[in-house]
Amino acid sequence: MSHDHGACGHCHDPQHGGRRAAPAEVLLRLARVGIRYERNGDWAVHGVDLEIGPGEIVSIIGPNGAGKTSLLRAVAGLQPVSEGAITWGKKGGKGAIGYVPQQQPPDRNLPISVLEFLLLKLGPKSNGGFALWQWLRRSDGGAREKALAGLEEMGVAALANRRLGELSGGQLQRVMVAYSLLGNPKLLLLDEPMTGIDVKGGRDFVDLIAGLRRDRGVAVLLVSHDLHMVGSISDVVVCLNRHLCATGTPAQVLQDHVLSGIYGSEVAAPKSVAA
Amino acid sequence: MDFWHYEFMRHALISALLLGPACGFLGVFVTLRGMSFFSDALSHAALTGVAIGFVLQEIFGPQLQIIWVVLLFSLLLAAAMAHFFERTSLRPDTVIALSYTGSVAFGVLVISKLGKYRLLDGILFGDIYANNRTDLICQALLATAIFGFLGWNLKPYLLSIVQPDLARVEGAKMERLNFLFALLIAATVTLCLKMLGALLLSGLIVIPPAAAKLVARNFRQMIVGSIMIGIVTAAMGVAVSYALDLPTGPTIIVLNVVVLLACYALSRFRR
Repeated sequence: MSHDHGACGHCHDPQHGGRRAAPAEVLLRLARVGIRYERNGDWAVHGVDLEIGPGEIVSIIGPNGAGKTSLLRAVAGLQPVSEGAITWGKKGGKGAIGYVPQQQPPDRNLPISVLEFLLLKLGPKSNGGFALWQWLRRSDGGAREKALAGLEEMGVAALANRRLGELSGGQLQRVMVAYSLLGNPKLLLLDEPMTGIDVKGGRDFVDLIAGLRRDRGVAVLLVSHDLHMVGSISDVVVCLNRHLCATGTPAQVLQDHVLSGIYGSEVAAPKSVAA
Repeated sequence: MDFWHYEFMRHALISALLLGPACGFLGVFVTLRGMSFFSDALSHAALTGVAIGFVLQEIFGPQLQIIWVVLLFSLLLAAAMAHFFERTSLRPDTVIALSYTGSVAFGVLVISKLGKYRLLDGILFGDIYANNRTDLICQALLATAIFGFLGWNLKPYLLSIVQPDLARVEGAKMERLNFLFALLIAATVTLCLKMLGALLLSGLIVIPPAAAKLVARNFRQMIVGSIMIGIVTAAMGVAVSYALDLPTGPTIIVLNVVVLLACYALSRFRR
């Protein structure tokens, strides 16, 4: 396993460089990945080594501007990789990704129903097929049932005929997850899933992710500022600050001295994990 | 119906039946993507396209088709506006306002200098009876292109309205699709010029989907509603303006506004 980083200049701690056992099987491998910002060519992040196993929940934490979202977007194929490589294991492949973007509620009055939104995923290939025709004669019953089953799985079947713009943050997120699950992904990418979600919603979300891993064996790579959620949900925590500062189990990484080295002195590890 | 007698009336009606639904369908995407003002700017700028066409006709002779000059100018202006959006600190609404006031001013200067001021009326407010056979063929091709292209690419366009990244993750080439969309607007503006005129034509692109949106519960209803409103208002506009001896372009737009107000009343009533 290549998580032997030695001293980390940002974290002021030669000892922390948390390590973890390599996953028995690799779903996705990042090898010395570096990403530059498109606008000025500066490095957003570089030299990232990471392996994600099937069904593993991996969380990326780090301060603002640490390159977390850039890394996630590169995995999603939304941003080019400037150095290194992102490669899939045997079970992966380009279509194996379900991407759930950061919460940006669409136009409140957008006249697209939840069901219509999900049917987009089940329609013909993204760039082909005469979608208008299917749209006008309503899509076939099979796709409809599949979409409804997807909503049911996320516990939001009652929202099927509501407009997308009317949903609350938590509801929209579940619909977005349901949407990406329709593609049967092996890896779910979640960008700041806790934004705009209250405490109760956060607990529900943790249960939801755990349930997905249990029932579908889907791996999750998420970016979050919420250290409590990260601590309770993750198999692996990756601490990022323009480079990889630490990788390990929540107990290894979410420690006061590691976090204060990255975020500044006032950040303490969540009690439930550090204890 | 005695008006079917006259060829110019038949042409006007066919033109309305082609462009009404095409604009209604295109307009759904124009309004949801927040590009109403962009189409408005291109339609105003068509005046300058016509003016430049007149100048080129003076040079190359009357066989030069002005319609191509207008299309080319619309495309160039769309590209120039996109350049300004991305490369300067000016806000899009500022760029749009300056480009259309600037191009209208320039167009009027050229037209007055050429001594064609009396044609301005038709350019600004439309002259649907001037449609000839070639115009109708071009309009039929445009309607086919709009329904074919947008119908085929419904998914990436709709996804990008909800969340642009979702469309990109699915492999849609959004830069190319955005460019082709701007192209489609430019072509529509050019071919609607005769029917509605530079000042009014964006009304037929923007008002039908806006009215449909007020009452639609989902996207399907918005598409069907907007296309229906486009057909009905355009065809009725031709008939009513003939019966009451009114100018056709303004009649079509006023009918659209009436439908929009009715949809608004319906949406309040439902609540």
